[in-house]
Amino acid sequence: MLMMPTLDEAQVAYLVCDPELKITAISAHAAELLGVAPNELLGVPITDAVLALAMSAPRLLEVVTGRLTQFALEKLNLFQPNGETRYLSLYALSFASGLLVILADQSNQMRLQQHIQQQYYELSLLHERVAEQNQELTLRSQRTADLLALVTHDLRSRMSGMSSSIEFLLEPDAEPLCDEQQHTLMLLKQEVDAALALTRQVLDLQRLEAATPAHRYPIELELLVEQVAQAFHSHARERGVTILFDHDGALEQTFAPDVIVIGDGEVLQQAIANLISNGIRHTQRGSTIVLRLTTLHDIPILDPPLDPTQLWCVLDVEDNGPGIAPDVAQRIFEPFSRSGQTGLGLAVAQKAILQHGGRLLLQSYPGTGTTFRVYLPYVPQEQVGG
Amino acid sequence: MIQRKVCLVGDFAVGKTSLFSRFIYNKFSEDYLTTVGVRMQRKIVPTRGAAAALILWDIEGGKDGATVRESYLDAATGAVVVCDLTRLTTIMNMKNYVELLLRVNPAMQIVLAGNKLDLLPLEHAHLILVRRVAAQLDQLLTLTSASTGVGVEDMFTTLGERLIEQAVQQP
Repeated sequence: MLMMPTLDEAQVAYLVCDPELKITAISAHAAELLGVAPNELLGVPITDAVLALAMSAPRLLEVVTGRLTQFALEKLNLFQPNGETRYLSLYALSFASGLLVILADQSNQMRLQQHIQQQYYELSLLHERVAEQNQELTLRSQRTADLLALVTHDLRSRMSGMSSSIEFLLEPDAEPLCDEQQHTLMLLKQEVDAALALTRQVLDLQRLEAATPAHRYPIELELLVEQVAQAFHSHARERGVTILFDHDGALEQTFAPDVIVIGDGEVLQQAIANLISNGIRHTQRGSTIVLRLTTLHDIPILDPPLDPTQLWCVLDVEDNGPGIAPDVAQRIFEPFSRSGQTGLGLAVAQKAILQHGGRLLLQSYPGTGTTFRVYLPYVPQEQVGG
Repeated sequence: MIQRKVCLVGDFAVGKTSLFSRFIYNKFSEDYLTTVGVRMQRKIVPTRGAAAALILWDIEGGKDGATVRESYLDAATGAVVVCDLTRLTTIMNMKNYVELLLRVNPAMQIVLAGNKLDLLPLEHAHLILVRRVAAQLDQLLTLTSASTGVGVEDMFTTLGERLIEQAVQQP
């Protein structure tokens, strides 16, 4: 018992037990922690005095006999008459043929831990709920998308039929129509064709929901852009708009003039066509649309960032039209955000570029024209075998 | 009278402390207060035969079965594995707790508590799932609500009876 004065001086809370686990000594501090008078527990088995040890006699006897070096129970919650919780840790060690039980009051530390754990678990609960709702919304959205695809598909078939029927009525060798009938049928055909275009774009949007393109093969981007530009020349001329493809000058300065993009040519063609068509539609007569294809030496900082391990090219579709007001520009890639034929063209273009691992950005200020900038990852021609 | 240690285990916020408080003090609080460590209380459970003194250990919850301190399970012969019927992960995680308990004591008497029954509409899919999980684990399932008290007393009485039976068979 020589160490007891030292423990008392150090204000350690302890109990001493004989080999039968009966309490033979208790420090004032331990009595205070257990909420009893110091003499009250003398001679009482520790398994009766401390509820946490009620079933632990076999373990404690193992400590007494040295078969176990120590027995510990941490963070025991003791409720105080004032409603507070006291947190104790208990360590039982072999001592003088009996047992020394040390009690450590960890209340301050544990209250802090309780506070942190409470916050953490509340956030975890919130996270669980958000994830659950997200899953439910995704499921609902998928069902709606499936229904939309089904309806759109059906509408497209019916409208194709209507369009063909109108064409048949308008054929020169069909029954003669009066001017008014002919005019009405032509208007009707325009409306049906516009509706058909809409259904086609809705289906395009649906198809672009997939993370990667359905087909992947090497595409010569310069050639693809040129073909799209060619296809628009007569339509642009009708509207008094000039299309220029400024590729030679820029590409000569690069180390890899032949830009090959891996992806679905049809999808990329559609995206570029939509950007050009948007430019033609929203510029006045006499305007010019410049298509500029370059490769990047320095990767710009974008949010989210472009993958620096890849090579990047840029296709600018630039017009000198009236520009786009900032409030419109903010939601330009949302479906039906801009008045036009269908309001889906830019949404389709963006999804197509994203599907190919690229980005589509807009630079526009009212009165200074508009540039749609397409970033696409590419591989040099020599890497795809000429 | 036999005395047995019964541990309440399960994921965080499934209602272990609420079941403990409902059983010991017949009280319920809507506030969620995370348990750090373990709290314990003794209660005598009258059963059809003899009475049993249960020392209930309400052990802090974790995110899966691996976070329970095994020293808390020492000398336990009974356990209640609690799940929150509204949270799928807590139902699925019961398996981890059952495995841990049986590893510590292969003769452990276990009851599964599907708690927060009052928050679930009848015939909710989770009720079917929790029954299937209980059947797979081959453990008794009790549906409880610490809020209304439904099933709580019965669950501890059943566990008390099983512990008495076990004590008679293996004194």
